[in-house]
Order: sequence, then C-alpha cells, then structure tokens
Amino acid sequence: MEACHCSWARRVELNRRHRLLLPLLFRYMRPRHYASLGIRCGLVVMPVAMTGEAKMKLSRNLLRMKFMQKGLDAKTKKELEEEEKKVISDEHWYLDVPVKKAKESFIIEEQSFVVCEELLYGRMSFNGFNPEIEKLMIQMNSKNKKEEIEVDDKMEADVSDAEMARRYETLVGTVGKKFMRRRDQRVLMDEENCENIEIRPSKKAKKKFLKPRD
Amino acid sequence: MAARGGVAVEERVGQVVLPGDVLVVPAHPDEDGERLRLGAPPAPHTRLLCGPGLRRCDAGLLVTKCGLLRHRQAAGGAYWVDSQQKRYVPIKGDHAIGIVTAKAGDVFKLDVGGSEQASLSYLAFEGATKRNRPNVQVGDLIYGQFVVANKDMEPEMVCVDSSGRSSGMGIIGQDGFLFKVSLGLIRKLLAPKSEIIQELSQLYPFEMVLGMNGRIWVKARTVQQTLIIVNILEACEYMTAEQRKQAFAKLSGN
Repeated sequence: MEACHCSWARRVELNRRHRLLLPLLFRYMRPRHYASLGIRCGLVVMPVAMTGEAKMKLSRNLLRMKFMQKGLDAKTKKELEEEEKKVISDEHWYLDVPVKKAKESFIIEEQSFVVCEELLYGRMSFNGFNPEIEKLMIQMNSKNKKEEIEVDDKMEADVSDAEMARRYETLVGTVGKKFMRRRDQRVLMDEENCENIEIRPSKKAKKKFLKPRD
Repeated sequence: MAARGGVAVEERVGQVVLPGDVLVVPAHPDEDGERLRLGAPPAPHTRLLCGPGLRRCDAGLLVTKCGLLRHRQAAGGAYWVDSQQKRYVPIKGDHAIGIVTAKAGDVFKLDVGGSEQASLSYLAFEGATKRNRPNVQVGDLIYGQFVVANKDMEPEMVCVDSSGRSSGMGIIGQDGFLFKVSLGLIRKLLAPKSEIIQELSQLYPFEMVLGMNGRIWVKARTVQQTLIIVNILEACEYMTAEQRKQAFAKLSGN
C-alpha cells in the first residue's frame, strides 16, 4: 500500500499549489495518515490499471472544492452542477397524496361570543367613579354603532335625479369661482367686501355702550 | 339521533340542540351555477357566521355543545349555541382577567381559569420597552386580550391593541373585589342594554371589570357598597327579572 501511494500521487494531475505541497506532505506524514488525508479532501485516486488511461482523474469531491473551480473546463463544470442538482432533488421529500380540492365555504367559524352576540367592552364605570373609563366606554361601545350608521349611509346614497339637479344648480356658482380668472375673482371679492363694509357700521352701532340715564 | 340528523337550521332556532346534531344550512346562491348561467354580477359576499358550539361539516353545521340554538340576522346571519358553563376555554380575541402567578424572565404567567396558564410578555404593555419594564408583581390582576389561543398551544395575552395603546387593558388598580360567576352570566351582563347593568348603575358610583373568563372585579367608594354590588351580581344568576326588581327596590329604599 505504501509504495503504491507514492506512485499514484505522481501521476495525479494537480494544480500548482498542490504540486508544491505534495512532496512536503509525503515526507513528514506517516503512511497511516494517508488514509485520513484521502478521506478529508476526497482525494480518492484511482490506479492506472482500473481506468486504463495514462492520466488519473481527481475525485468529484475534490473538484467541487472552491480552490479547484478555477482550473476546471466547462464540460466538467456542467457535469458537476447537474450532479449537484440531482442530489438536491433526491433529498427533497414530499407526500404522495392526490391534491384535495377544497370547496370554498361560505360558512365562517368563529369561536368567540363577542362577535356573535355583539357584547360590550368589559370595563365599566358609573356615575363618575372613574371618568377615564367612562370616556373609554363611550369610545369602545360606539364602534359597533358607527358601523351600523355607515351601512345606513350607503343605503341612502342613491339621490334622485331631481335632487341632484337642484344641488348642482347651487354648486355651479361655487365651483365656477374656482376656475375663474384671477382678475374676475378680484372683482368678485371687492363686491363682497363692499357688502361687508356696508354691514359693519350697523354692527358697531349695536355694540356701543349705552349710558344709563339718570 | 337519526331523526335529528339533517334538520334545517331555521327550524331549531331557540330550541335545545345536543352535541352530534347535524343542522342543514340553506343552499347558498353562489353554490348553484345559476349565477354563472345568467351572467349576473357576483352578489356581495354574505357569509354565514358559525359561532361557539357549532362546527362546519359536509352536510352543514355540526353541534358540539348542548344548549339553545341562537340566531342573529345581520351581515349574512349568525348561528351559535347558548350554553351554560363554568369552565373557561381561552378564545382568541377575548378579554379576560388573569392573576399573575409567576415572573419567569421575559414573560409573566397568568392564571385565567383555563386548562393552562397564559403567558404575557413584559413588552406587551403600553409604553413598555426593554429598559422600561412594567411594574407587575405576583398576585396582581391583569385585564388583557388573547392573541394566541388554540388547543395545541399555550395561550398568550397582551395588554395593548393593534395600535399599541392600552385602551383600558393592563394592571387593574388596587383594592376592589374579585369574584367568579358563570360564563352565561358574564354574557348577560355584557349584552348591549343589559337590564341588570342599567339598574345597578343607578345605585352607586362604582367601577367594574368583566372578563369573558367569568371573573368580575368590582370597586365602589366603600367596602360596604362594593359588597352589596357583589352580592347582587352573584344573586342575579338565580333570580328572575321580577325578583331582581324587588331586590333593587328594597336597596334604593334604604
């Protein structure tokens, strides 16, 4: 076995770093260490007689290592990748059960009484014993009522055509003001101010202090 | 049982149902293909609510508790079983009163009356941070809400709502009196416009916390007033409306 090891190693195709390292390794290591070295880096080297080729091949585990990736050609790289994919897909496991078609149910399960019976919030205070809690009571218990009111609003959202026309009539003026040119707007403002000015004196007169007559 | 199997739900509303009964739910318009054939726009989702004591099954609803079948006609309708029980089973979303039994590192253990103690993180209080721990001692009463409650896991409570505010949850103040009533009475008290609560509120100024786990905490100005309210509440369980009114008349006369 020992003699064999040395001859294998020379035939192994390694990159430069390894070629430099190997003589050192073999000088200082005892034969019993070789086995562990081989397992550690996956250095399983095949003898010439088995492959029938002059060149030796490196094991897959070794090729997969990071420092070996540089020198690899495209073909072996591809092979390695495929193999890796295969291993990964083999390791995934799944249940071989036919897919169950769940019918969408219109029933909701609800285990709480609070939702079903519309129960109130559990903190209560009466006759001003704890004003904070009383405020909270109003706030928490009005949540349900608000929702009801909102629903009502939706129901009444439909406005009759006649009412819509009437409302729109009043809107024409206010919305139209927005789209008016500045100059026109100013004129309009002035008119309004004039009206206000006219009103003001009468207001002032009202507020005058009345001296009591003796 | 065979005779009971497959009765329409509407027929049994207000009647006694027993575990194992199957109640048939009227077919939903979405289920038969008519809608597709007519090509009408999909109807607004009206979903049937199946409350406590009922479970979904292939035929319709399966009854799991005995009691009276109740129904409410709102947003698709709701059915549930009104049962009388004392044992509380934690339900997600319920507010309950717990007693702190242990402080174990990051969590407090609360006795809520269920089969297992609930856990409460020290961070689940309003304004609590890793540095600013809430001052909770063993024996304190805590009003909180269940966020995790199922048959397989330890129930978990919090004292903040989704926006991080306490909104009345947290440690319940000093003094006061804690006692336990049946779960049915708690629901009666918490019902909107409950007569008992309305009559009580006219007696004295007082404060009350009601947990869905059957615990009630009461505090009034004096110990005497507190005890009167406690006694009335305890007695309400077995009094008719008439008897209760007589009792209240007697009290207000004094």
